[in-house]
Amino acid sequence: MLAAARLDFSIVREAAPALAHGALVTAEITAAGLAGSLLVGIGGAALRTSKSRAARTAAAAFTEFFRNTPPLVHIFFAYFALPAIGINVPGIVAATTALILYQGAIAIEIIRAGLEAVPAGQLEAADALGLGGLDRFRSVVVPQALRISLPALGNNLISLFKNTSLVSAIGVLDITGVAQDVIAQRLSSAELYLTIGAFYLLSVFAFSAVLRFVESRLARYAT
Amino acid sequence: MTAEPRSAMVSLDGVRKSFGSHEVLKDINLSVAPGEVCCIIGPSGSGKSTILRCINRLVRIDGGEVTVDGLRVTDPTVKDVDLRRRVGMVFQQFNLFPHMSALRNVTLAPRKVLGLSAAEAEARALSLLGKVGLAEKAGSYPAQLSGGQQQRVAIARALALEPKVMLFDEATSALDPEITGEVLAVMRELAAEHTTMICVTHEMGFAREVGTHVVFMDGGSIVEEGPPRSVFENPQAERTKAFLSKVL
Repeated sequence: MLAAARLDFSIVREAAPALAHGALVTAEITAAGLAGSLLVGIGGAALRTSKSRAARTAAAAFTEFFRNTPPLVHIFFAYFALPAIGINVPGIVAATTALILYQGAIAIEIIRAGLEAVPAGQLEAADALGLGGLDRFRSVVVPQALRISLPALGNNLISLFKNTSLVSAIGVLDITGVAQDVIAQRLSSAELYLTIGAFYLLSVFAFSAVLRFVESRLARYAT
Repeated sequence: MTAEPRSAMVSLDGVRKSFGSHEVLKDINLSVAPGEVCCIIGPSGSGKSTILRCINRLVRIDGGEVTVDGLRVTDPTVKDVDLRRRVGMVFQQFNLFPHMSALRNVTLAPRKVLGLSAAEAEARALSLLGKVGLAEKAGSYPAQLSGGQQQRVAIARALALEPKVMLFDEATSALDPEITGEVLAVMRELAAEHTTMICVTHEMGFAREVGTHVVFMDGGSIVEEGPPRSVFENPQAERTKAFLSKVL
């Protein structure tokens, strides 16, 4: 209570519009990161399980490199090192791309496991119906693999959401970046960190609830 | 009996297939005429299912030739899709797509393979689901259907490409005995419509009553074949006699 008595949340009230804008940026990076990492994951997993040895090796190398190196390093590299070789992109684009590659690398492994868990009989049935490789993959394999992968992909989404806070390291004004700006001006940190901590926590609870709902809906059609 | 490619719907000539060092099919010769119902019987592991899989290229043969409706299965210029739209297949484990309704299971191939519009494919699917007695289950998912219902949907799905020949791979083996009847009834109806059918089956009653030709296989070879009456009532080979005495 003593500590609480020293907290002054009026600073949060004053900073609320800026924090709300930061939350929006966090949401945008998360949405783009989710879409991008799923595309990387599906494409990479397709390569990872393809007949071509070169494609499998390339996808495996990509996965091992990105998931075994820190996402903060990817973000720094994309922002500070790429301009040195003539590639200039805005900070938010560099940071989002770096996160897509990191979370996408993890998604590749998750979706690969899902693809391999689709029963062989499903592939035979699709073949026997004359479905070509792409139709077989799109209509039969991917929907089932995604359902199998959904819990792990949900965890990857939560990891992505938390990792968006790293973009503040290169000055992107996501909710963490905004909070750090306010803290730098007002020299008062506890209230703001508690506030954005609560934002991340409640958001993750909301994601988890949605994921549980989707999983229970899908389970009704599971064999 | 030699195959007559000009009149046969399906013919196998000297077909050989090995998995590793295990020879599953040894010089198989078989000819199925249009409208015939060929029933393949025999102990497990005798190569019955492999024969079916060679016909629609799910398994590639090591030697010999398979012809379906004039198409040579070993000819690399014959596309998978051209072969498979002529051959419907029904599996022991149904293999319905669990994330699609019964209707979508049946419309998928007509839309993707034949290029039918959604409305055309749906009309065809509803008529086929009606034929197998499941029109009212069109919106149900496989997990909501009994085994017998799932297998009838699978038959409708295989018929949706209007194939020239239907392959049944132990279509009733995964079903409870009291449910096999509803699937066999659909198969009898197809036979009555002169659908060319090749059935790997343990249902001796079906083979005897519905089959126009019965093939007994053991150890990767055809031991005996002929009209059901002669194979069942007057088997010549000792192995056929021994097998039939156990299953009849």
